[in-house]
Amino acid sequence: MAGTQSEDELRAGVLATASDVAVMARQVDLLISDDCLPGVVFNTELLRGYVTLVDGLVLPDDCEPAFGYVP
Amino acid sequence: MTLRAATLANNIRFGLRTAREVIETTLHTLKTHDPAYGCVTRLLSERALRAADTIDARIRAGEPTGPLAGVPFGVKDLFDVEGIITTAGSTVLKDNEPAKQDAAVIRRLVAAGAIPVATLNMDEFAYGFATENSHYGTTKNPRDPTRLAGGSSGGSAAAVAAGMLPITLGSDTNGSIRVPASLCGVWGLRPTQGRLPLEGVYPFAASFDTIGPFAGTSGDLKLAFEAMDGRAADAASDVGTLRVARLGGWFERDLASGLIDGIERIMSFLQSTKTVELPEVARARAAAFIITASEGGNLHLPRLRHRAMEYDPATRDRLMAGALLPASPIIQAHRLRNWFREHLHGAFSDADILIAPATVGPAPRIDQPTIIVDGKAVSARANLGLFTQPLTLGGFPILAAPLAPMESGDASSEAGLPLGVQIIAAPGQEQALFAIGAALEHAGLLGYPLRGTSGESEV
Repeated sequence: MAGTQSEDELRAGVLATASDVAVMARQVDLLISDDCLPGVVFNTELLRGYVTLVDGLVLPDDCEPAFGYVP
Repeated sequence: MTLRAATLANNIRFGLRTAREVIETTLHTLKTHDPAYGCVTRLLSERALRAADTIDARIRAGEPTGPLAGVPFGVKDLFDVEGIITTAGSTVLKDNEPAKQDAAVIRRLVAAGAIPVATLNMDEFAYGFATENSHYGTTKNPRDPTRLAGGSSGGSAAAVAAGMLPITLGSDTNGSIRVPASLCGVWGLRPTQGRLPLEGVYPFAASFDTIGPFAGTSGDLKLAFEAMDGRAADAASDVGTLRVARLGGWFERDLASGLIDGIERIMSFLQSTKTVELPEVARARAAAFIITASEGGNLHLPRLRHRAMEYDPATRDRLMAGALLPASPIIQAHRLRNWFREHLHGAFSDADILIAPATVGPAPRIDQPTIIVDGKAVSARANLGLFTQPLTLGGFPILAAPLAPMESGDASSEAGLPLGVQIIAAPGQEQALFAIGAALEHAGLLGYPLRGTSGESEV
């Protein structure tokens, strides 16, 4: 739905992302200090927007990843 | 002193000047003029003077010296230079061993007679479009020092624009040659991905990392590229036979009026009205973001676990977020890359050359946080790559070319600042880019006057 998020909604969104960041960071054994957290949360939210964009395109099953490894 | 590499090399080869004179003058110029711009991170004075003496001795002995005999050049601070530590614009690598040998492309340039004289400023680990570096300072745009030089190869572009060096080297992962070349009004080349060797170049995102030259003219750019390429040049293209189209849709949004006029003049000169529209450009750009963030994040994760606070805060937070991305969107981004590449090849079934803007407008002011895209204020720094990032995904060769300055009635502060275009060819067709670039430069449509170090236009 289009519209402006309230401050409470924005705050709740940021806190949810911060919580997700903590979980994801544990999975790769990365400790994110309080000094880094706001910037990491901001960048994670930015990347989520890009993830939504690439996930929104339905690709044919035979479209392979473009990894560069040539044996 | 003329700063054209071709002229310098000829003058040295034919004994009109010595390489030592040229290198001494260049080092003096860098020492006295660079503090105003912040391009240089280290001077290689002793090595450069020694190399100049070797070139002069060869000339006296009648030995061959190469097409770039005695020509000074600078390198972005992520190329290995024998005997010094490669910083990649960071202090995080300060305890590494000094490089045991030059990067492969530096060795090729040296074999052609060129002489490295300086390492040049960049965004930390090449992750940015601004060359604002918390360790080594912000590189200022020589066309207007209150404005950004662009990045991440900002020191390389600005050193050429300031008339301090005729040739420099940079790297381009998402636009790091094309953006600063355009904002500073110089020529740059992102060659076909994989064409130039990356040996001795500090990586960023391996899927996209590409290196290339900057120069003040298309001829000097070609000379530098051919030396870096290390093989006989392909046959020159006949410009009259090239089919040209402009990229529409995404690439027509929010353009500065000077860019609209400049591209129209180019299309008119090339007698083409054809427009090609690529599909899903926003998603292509998103895929480039995701692949870059994840590969950069993975590369730095071991250090981020223990030494995060030694990074530039902006770089650190981007890398950390990239390291946290799950596998599925990364793989989807790589699949989208394959899909987009096929469509890009499809565009070249009806055209040999595509033309697009490099940025939406001129260099933002250093104190300017936003630019306008789609009527909205968005981060200036993040969106300088709006037009370069989607094309990164294809890996095709792209010439960044400065529009020639035109007389206009525009009295704004941005009037007369450099604007650049991207000229794109199919993989391996760099010679077509050089041919069309030279023709448009000759016609007065491309090429921005360099500032001589005396403040006068010299090229």
